[in-house]
Amino acid sequence: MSTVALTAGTAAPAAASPEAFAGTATAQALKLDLFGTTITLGSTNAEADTTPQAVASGSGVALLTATASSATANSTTPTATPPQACGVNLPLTGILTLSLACSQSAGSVANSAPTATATSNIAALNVGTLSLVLQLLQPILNALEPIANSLIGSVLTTVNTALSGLGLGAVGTTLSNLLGGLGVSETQPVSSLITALEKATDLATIHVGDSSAGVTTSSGTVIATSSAQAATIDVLPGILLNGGPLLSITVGTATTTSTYNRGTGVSTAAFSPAILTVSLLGINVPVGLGAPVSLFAGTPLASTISLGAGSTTKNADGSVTATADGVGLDLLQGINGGISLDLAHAASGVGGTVAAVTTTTTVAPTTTTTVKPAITTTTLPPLATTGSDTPYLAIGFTLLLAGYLTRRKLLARRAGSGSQR
Amino acid sequence: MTDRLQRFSQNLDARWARLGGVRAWRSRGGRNPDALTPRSWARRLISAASVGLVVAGVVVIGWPFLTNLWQDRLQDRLSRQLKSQSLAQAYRENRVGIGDSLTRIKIPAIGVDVVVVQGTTESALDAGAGHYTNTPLPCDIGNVGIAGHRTTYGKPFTNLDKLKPGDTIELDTPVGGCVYTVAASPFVVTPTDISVLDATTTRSLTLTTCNPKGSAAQRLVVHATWSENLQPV
Repeated sequence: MSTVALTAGTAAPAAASPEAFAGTATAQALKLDLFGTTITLGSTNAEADTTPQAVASGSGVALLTATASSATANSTTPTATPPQACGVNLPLTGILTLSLACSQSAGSVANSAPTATATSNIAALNVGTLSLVLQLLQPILNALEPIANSLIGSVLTTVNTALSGLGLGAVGTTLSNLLGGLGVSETQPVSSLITALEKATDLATIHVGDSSAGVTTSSGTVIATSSAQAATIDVLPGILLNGGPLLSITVGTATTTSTYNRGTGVSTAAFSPAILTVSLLGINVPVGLGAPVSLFAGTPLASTISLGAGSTTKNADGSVTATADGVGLDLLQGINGGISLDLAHAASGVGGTVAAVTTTTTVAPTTTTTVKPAITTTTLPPLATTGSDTPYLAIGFTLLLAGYLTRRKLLARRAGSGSQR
Repeated sequence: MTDRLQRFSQNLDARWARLGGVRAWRSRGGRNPDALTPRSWARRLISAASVGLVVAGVVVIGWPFLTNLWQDRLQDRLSRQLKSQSLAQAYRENRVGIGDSLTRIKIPAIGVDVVVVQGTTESALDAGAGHYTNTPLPCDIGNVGIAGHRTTYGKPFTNLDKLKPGDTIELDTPVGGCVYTVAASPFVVTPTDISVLDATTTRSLTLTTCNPKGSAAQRLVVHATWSENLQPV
């Protein structure tokens, strides 16, 4: 599992120094590392610091440059918003939209406040025939609306009264709250339901491998967020009053948030992982295992399994990192790097220091006192990986040999059974 | 027609006799010997798996060569991009995107002549060599960092260890070029020793690649110092 590289530099000499901060966020929908060979799908990165600089990048499929986008903003280029990069983008207006391996990045620096955002996905299918169906049914709905309103409205009122009479008022209240979430009125249920349905942007959306990463700087905070989902199915998205879907099922979710307070210099981190999240009428039910499970530790077969797990780290310099994994497998770590699978992995980190204040006292001339030590925070990735530990020849010849021997044995058995006949 | 039927009938009889006749047929449970049994399905599955293993073996052995082909194709596109006016403009404004052409590197001593892209991300390095984004642009004041593959993706830095002090390295950017001279023999560091990319007040160049060949355990580093501009930069 990857980690966020966020390290602190050395303390500066006692003197006035400007504010310094850095934030970084990264998310991957799927990352498979097979003995050193890596396949990454739906990945995003965002970085911002006090240079000021904002760098965002994303890719639908890491190996295909057509699906990658990047944006760099700084003082000389305050805004960078390149167009969305897509492997396939097939919109059929009003019926469905299919996009495969897309990414979009944006960066901006406004008043020395850098902001970088990136999103990507592996596949997205939006089925949008709902408005078409509603248009076709409009005459029938218009005719039936007054009668249905009156009939269903009175039924709902009767049910509520009956539930109250039975001492089940809480059930009635829950029902009202659920309908309220949809914006459905008890007196005009059909009209308000049609209005709610019209708000739904699509009939259903299916997203595979969504990820997003962003670092946002405001006057008070620097917030780095990252999130990844392996797959999400939304039924009637936009139907709820808060813009949410009627039903949402998400497999593999990882979300992290790291916040740096520019006023106090304090950083905090949080994470939220889940293997499965079901959301009905805006009520979320996440399912996760918790802490990672380690097997065969200390041996070449050492393996770690994380199902809906995450962690936060506070470094000595005050910077923080948060990581979350929907599903994370690190298998056979002692054998050529082993096999690593991250399904919905998210990580973020921030750190920094407030501007050091220098005061000169009048009691002792030329005596200078630094109130707060200055710590410079920078993101320092390791040297680029330009090689691989994978023994291609050995693995290849082993596979060839295994295939050849299997085939030979098979043919020998076939010949043997043929001669028996 | 009758002759043909007779011959067919004789052939059928002969085949039936070879299979052991009625007795053998009954001993097999009276089933058609050519019918697909679970055992024959398993055999077919194993047969397919063996073919799959052979194909996978060929692909794995050929993987480094495939990456070379891919890099070669990519270099063609990058070469064209390097000559474009839009890239020159982006270069002047320091907004060359990750994976886009940045400069051409030529090292006559080891036969290197490839386009270097902006960035050292995994996908950017498919081009063979990439520029560390946290270092200055080629030929600018400071320590310019470039990483290159050693065994795959065109392996431009495969013979980096053979460079000697005095060898020249030429960088041709969309807005000019310059020449650096190797300052010292190549040396090995750990992947986390990023001090080799520390900023300098003079113009210098640092090349990195994986070491030893076929491994990512260490990094081989070459430092070079600026010697001349080829055109005004």
